[in-house]
Amino acid sequence: MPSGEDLFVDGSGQPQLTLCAVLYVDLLGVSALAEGQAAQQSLVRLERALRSMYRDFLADDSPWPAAMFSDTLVVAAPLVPSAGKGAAETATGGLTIQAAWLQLNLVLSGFFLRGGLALGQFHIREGLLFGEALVEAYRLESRLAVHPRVVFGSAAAEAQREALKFYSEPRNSPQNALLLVDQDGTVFIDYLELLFDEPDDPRPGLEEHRDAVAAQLTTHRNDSRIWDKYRWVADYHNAVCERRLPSEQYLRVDTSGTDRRFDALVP
Amino acid sequence: MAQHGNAFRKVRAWIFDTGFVKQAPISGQNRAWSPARWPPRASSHRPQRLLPQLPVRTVGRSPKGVSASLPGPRPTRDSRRRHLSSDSRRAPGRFPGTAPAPAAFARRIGHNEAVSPIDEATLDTDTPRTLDGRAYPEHLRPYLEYDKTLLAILVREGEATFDELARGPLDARVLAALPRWLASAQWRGLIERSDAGTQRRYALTQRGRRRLRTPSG
Repeated sequence: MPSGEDLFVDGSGQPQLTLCAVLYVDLLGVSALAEGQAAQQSLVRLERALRSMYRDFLADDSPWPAAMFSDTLVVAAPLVPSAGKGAAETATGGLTIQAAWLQLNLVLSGFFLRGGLALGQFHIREGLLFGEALVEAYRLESRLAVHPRVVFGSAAAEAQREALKFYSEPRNSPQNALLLVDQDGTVFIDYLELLFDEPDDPRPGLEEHRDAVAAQLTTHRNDSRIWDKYRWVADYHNAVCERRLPSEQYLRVDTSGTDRRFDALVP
Repeated sequence: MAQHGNAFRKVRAWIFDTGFVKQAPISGQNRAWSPARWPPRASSHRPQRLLPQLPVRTVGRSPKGVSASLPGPRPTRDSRRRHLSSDSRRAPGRFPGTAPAPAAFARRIGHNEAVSPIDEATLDTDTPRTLDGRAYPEHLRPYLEYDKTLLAILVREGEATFDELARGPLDARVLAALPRWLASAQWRGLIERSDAGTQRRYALTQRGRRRLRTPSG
């Protein structure tokens, strides 16, 4: 497979657009951390969270070209001709798993994120990012995602739905095990499902996630706009626990943290 | 006598709480308690690098406001009880109300240790299970077709991180399948994983070598 950046130059060395799956994620709360009194510690924590995972998303020779600026990370998966008819599904599926790992590891480090995953023309080389897929992924992140979730664009979702046709039991397909449809019809990445992929006990990871969400709910109790976002994560967390470990009530985010409070005008 | 017992327990608790015990050799039963953590965590040994200087951002936005930090949630009685026993539950292979993983299952990659939660008796069946009864996920079954390609890379590399495996001559389809193939291969005991270092590492097992020699492998 050619290295990531080779696909973004033509034979004469000119930059070129290439069909890619593009992930655009925004780390929530990072701007406030950068302006806070503990900015130095926050930088160290963020650097560790981004680099000390099971793989280094920002390595120079990563097979998935990536760029980061401020609180935004862009990762691309080029469609390569050798993947044949399934090139779109392969690129989208591969990037979905990468996005899920990224989201899970960052969340467990205390960094929630919101993002979009789009399919289309894109260019990334030597720090230059350009293309319709980037614009779509950004719009997905900034307008459609709303909550800390990574949502799919229509072409990316269609590529995954097409792939389902190749499975005799679509319910047990890899695609179905990592994507959920929200009540607004949006397809988003079910990153907690990764905890059930490997043979390790998923409960410690769910406990960490529960505590991370609960901490955010407590912190943002007085800011309804932000609190609502983490309320969504709590609902998502509890839905996963209900589906996968229904008898283990302790894994759920405590409803006293997710219920709204209404006080009398005169206490 | 009871006072001596309490004193001993206090000293022992201090040794474990301060991590002093890490300098003592791990043997026998302690292997089931080895610090194989998931997910891997940052380590002070990891070289620190600044975030990359990537100059382009196509869109600009205003900073977001975040309210002041407040103390975390008060744990419920139930969660407190469970956190008290979290050490035993974090060690893979140990689950509440079950026996510890067999000592023979403690495995070693280099200087790191990992304990598999797989029930060894189920490893060569169609549906491997963990010691606490969880079954091999059906959605990982399609990844069996990559065994030959990816096991061969591990034979060549000895042990490798995800990125080292991904840098191999993999076509796009295999590369996309790599994360979940690794999960599938762990369930089937073909590879073993260590999270004890700064980066998660994978190595081939004897079962993995045998799988490579079978015609369907």
